[in-house]
Amino acid sequence: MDKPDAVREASRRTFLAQVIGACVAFLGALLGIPAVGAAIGPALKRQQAEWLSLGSPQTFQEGVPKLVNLTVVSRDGWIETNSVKSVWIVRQSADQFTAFSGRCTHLGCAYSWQADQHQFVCPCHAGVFGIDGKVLAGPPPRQLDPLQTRMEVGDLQVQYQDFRLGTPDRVPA
Amino acid sequence: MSDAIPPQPHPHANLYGWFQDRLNVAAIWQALFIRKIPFGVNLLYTLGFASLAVFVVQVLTGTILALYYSPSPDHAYDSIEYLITEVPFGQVIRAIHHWGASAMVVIVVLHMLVTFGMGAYKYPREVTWWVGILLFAITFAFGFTGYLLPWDEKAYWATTVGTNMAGTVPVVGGFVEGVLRGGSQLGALTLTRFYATHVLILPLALMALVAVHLFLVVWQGVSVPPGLWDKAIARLRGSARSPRALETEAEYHAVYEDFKARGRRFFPDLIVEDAVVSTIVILIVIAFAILFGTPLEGQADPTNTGYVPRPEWYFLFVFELLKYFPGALEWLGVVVLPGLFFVFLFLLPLLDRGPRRSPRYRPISMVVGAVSVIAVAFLTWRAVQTTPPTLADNRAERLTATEVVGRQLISAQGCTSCHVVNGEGGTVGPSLDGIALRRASAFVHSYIEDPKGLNPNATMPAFLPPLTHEQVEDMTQYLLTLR
Repeated sequence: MDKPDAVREASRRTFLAQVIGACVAFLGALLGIPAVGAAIGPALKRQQAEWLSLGSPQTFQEGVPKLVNLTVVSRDGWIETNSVKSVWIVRQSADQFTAFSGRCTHLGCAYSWQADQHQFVCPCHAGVFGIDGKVLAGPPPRQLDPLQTRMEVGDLQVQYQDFRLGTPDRVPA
Repeated sequence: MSDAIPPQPHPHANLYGWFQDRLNVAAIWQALFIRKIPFGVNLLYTLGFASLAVFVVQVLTGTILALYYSPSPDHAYDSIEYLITEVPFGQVIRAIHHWGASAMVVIVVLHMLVTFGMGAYKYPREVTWWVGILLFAITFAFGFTGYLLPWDEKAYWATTVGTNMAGTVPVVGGFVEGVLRGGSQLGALTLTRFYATHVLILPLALMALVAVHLFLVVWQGVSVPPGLWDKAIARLRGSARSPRALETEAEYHAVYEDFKARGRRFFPDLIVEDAVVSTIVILIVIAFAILFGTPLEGQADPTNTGYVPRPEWYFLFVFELLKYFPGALEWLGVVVLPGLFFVFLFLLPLLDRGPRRSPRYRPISMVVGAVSVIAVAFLTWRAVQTTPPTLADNRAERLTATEVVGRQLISAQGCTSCHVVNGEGGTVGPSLDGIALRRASAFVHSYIEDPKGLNPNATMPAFLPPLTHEQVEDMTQYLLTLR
């Protein structure tokens, strides 16, 4: 007589313990999944470099590099910072464009186009680059950093990116 | 999970055995969870556990909010906007925290009313009651410090009013107000102060007091429902002593041990009730969060004279009370009256020392309690009744930083001397409310810059100059939000 009662009591307690476990697991999942999602979500987000407008391609002459200053908005969480970046645009043919980051690959000085010598010259340490970006003379460890360009309905666009300076390999900064 | 400490085959047979061997965890488990709860305990006893469960939800959601929050007037609003637009689940977590705060207030107040109604603050639980009053006060302090943090209109204005209230107290008022604000003005120092209070001081205080509260609950056991208790005491005494005589320690323990012997185990018999009730409460909070969300009003704008601040619903009774204590006597209503109420709560176990706990044998306590509840309910109801409909507009309105600048310009340029803006202003020119329905933004912009260019008969002055193109655009952006 006593035994079945004890067994029933034990199974009742097991059931109640399972109900408690179910409540904890259910609430844990219901709150835990959003909490973990919110905590690690932004870490998984890759910041895509934006396409920036260079204007109509008509403003660029074939074989004459042109300097364009771009306003790049960088976002750090809720803080937005504007910075001005320079790029050199070289029009190779009617629909072919090359864009170079405006910073010398040696130590990051701003270089300029010397029309008479038909080459890019960096004033800091006398680095010299060809119109194709190749190093012709001086200390730069690699050719000028090319940037992605594209044409969107009559608008030439570039994707600005910074690279680590002074290294032979091109590594995004 | 049996009554006895489980027999161990070998001290180091498993991980549990290893710890058991050193820490005797089975005895802790036995003392906290296998203890007997007195006979007669019902669902009203689940409210304390539910308060703790909602607090755990607040800690969890609050921690996530803190990951994305910046306590500075420059960035607080932007950081909240970032949270609700960019962070996965950000909006719903913020809404759970918002509704969780309301749930805390509701459950804590119910817990207190039940304790009050049952006379459970009587011997030997006076200290538990006092700690409970402090926890009740901390719950409200959490609410008050929490809603400044988003730095939106409601945050700024409700806190301005709230801290000013402290300033109305004679002699020490100015000092208290300065301490609350961290200076004479509501600003950066107020925000960091409220933030530190909300996320460090109050949680630490609450956890320490909860630890004491829970320790006392386990140490002394929960009270027996008053009807059963009074009958049992009377039965014990028989005709030997009057039921009105003070209860002796021996009487108390004899009756309590009897109830305990007939009671159920905390785990799993009673904790399952706590678990189910708490789960339902938390599900209601989550449902409110998903269904109603939580508003983020426009960014705090100290020049916005049109804003009608309203506190959270659980402070509405204080807000309403202000109206009955005009001028120099205001501090009586907002500081002294609530202060006296707290003093009453503290003194209650010392004043009401009769042995019987049923409400019908405690007429004075019950009348004071009922009057307090009715007064607070009435004041809250009055405050809701008299809330002007403009509040609804303000709630729906969420201005961007540009629009806030625009509104400041509109008020500085005196546009309302001729035009109606947001329900107020002159009738010389057309009302600008609902302009977005009638005019394109380019038209509004050009018109402000040079009215005669679009309408040769216009009497409105041109605003370019004195304003810049960008300023006119800010004004335009704001005007287009008017409904």
